[in-house]
Amino acid sequence: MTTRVAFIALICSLFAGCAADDPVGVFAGQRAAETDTVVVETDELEIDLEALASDEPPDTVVIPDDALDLTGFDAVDIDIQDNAFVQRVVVISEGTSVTWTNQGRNEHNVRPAISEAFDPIATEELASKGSQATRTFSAAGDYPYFCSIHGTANRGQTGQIIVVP
Amino acid sequence: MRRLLIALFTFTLLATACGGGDDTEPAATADTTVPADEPDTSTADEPADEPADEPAAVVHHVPEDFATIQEAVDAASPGEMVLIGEGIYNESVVVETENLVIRGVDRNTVILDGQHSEEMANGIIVFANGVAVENLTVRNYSSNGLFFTGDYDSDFVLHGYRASYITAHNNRKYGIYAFNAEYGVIERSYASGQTDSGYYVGQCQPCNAVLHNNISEANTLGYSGTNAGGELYIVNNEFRNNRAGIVPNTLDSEELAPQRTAVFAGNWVHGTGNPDTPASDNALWELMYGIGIVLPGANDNLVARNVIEDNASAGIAISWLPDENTWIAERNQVIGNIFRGNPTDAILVVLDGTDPLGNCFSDNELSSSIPANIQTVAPCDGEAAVITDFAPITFVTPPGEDARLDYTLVAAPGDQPNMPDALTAAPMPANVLPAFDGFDLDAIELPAGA
Repeated sequence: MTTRVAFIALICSLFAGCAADDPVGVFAGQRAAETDTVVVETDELEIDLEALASDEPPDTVVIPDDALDLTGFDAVDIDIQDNAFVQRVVVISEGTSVTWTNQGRNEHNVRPAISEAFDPIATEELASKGSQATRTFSAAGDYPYFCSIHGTANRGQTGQIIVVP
Repeated sequence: MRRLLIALFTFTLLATACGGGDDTEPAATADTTVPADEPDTSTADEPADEPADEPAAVVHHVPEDFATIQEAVDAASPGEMVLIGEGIYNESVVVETENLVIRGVDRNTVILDGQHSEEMANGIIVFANGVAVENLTVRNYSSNGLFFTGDYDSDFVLHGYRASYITAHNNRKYGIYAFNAEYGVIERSYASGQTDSGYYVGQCQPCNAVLHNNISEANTLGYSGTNAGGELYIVNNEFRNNRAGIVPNTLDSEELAPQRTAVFAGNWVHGTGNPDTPASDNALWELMYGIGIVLPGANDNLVARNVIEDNASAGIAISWLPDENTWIAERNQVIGNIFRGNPTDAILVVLDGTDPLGNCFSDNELSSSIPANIQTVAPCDGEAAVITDFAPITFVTPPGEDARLDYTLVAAPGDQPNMPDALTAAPMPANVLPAFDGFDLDAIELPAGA
């Protein structure tokens, strides 16, 4: 069952010059507080509800426009900064090894957003600047992932690996 | 007179937010309501009137209505409040609903405890605009106590956040952490025993944020602010007995470098160089051990009217910083501070050793500096000279790795002051933003406790 869902992002509190509280008592000016509410409608999305419900990857994977095409390589690298996967969406070929390198000063980890899609990388493996960990992706499919310290499966520090035959 | 009026205005807002009542009684009734605050549109000289016929805000009680904080947060709608009763909650809470207020009935007995579990990285992580967290303790998390964050590589920069009366201790990384977030207030909070910083503001320009009346103790860094500046005010706080005190810095590991344009005023920075603190795995911070205020690769900051005393290595140091890039420190102003009891009060280390690069020192009470006579060599109100004094700099050596204190073993703090009227105060989400027009340095007073 595929349903077209109008994705409406309600952006509350777009703060156009709004400010009211001088929390310290050292600012000479006070601007009027005002809160605008803006509704932004974005493009409609294809969502495979059955796949979401079953916690299984969908049959069809949509490759985002900002995906980095790294197909044809045996090994690819993904850098981690604080707090992001620099190559956030990559497309690779089956059998490619992916190495994450912590280039930041925070600890990070790599966890599949779809449970057991691949072996997670523990924080201790990516705890310090320069630390690395590798996973090999043998089967075609969609492998969204995240750092559980700085994100959730769909917010914050997220990444996506799309493996094509 | 104007200062008095502004102070009165501030008090009025806080009083309106906090309401009145007895905060010693446990919350007993589910689905209660309290008056909702509306954004205040008054001016500084005209304290707000009580709004008439205001709608009542919905309050979700934990554990009466929901067994867990997460369940209550998930059920709440914007503008509503989650009121948490006394207890220890072994949760890691994710907040994705805007304009919530999450409040404990008692700061010292409403405790979120991560038990040092890798599965509970953050006490509370907030991905939504306008969320205020008040009057509770976050401890023993494997990363951060309270974390406000935007999405790093999307268009979402978090707008509006507030942490009030929070105790954050023995968390492995940061106590209270704001990243890729703007328009924030962190106030009247306490942070100790973190292996990085008690308070961290990272990657924002302009930040439009203020940290005031906080205490930071026994952390690796009292305050850290990587690539953070622009209407960022760190004022009237106490940083005591950390390894290093206040450290705004530039690093390549985050966006928006270099760090620039923050204000550090009215703070009491003392006892820095405390060996009984956890140390970061980041060796960079160990270089700053014992220095009250460090500006590594930092630019265009104002350091004014602080009392900086009894620090083990130095009062303040301005220096370039080698990272992936070499970040120089330029145009920082150090004005009107009191230095005492430091082996060296002020240190300026510029890249080529001769040009102060616009960094300047004036009207400070200080007795020693490198280069010597720093207020003559690099004055803020005159022409800088060529630095010819290359006196060696000697810092206290931090304890070796074997002697570093495990962050879990830092003594927990005693009870901290509660938010007034936590049971009855109307919820005030962080969508009423702090005003930063016309920062008045003259209104900053030297720290009362110093």
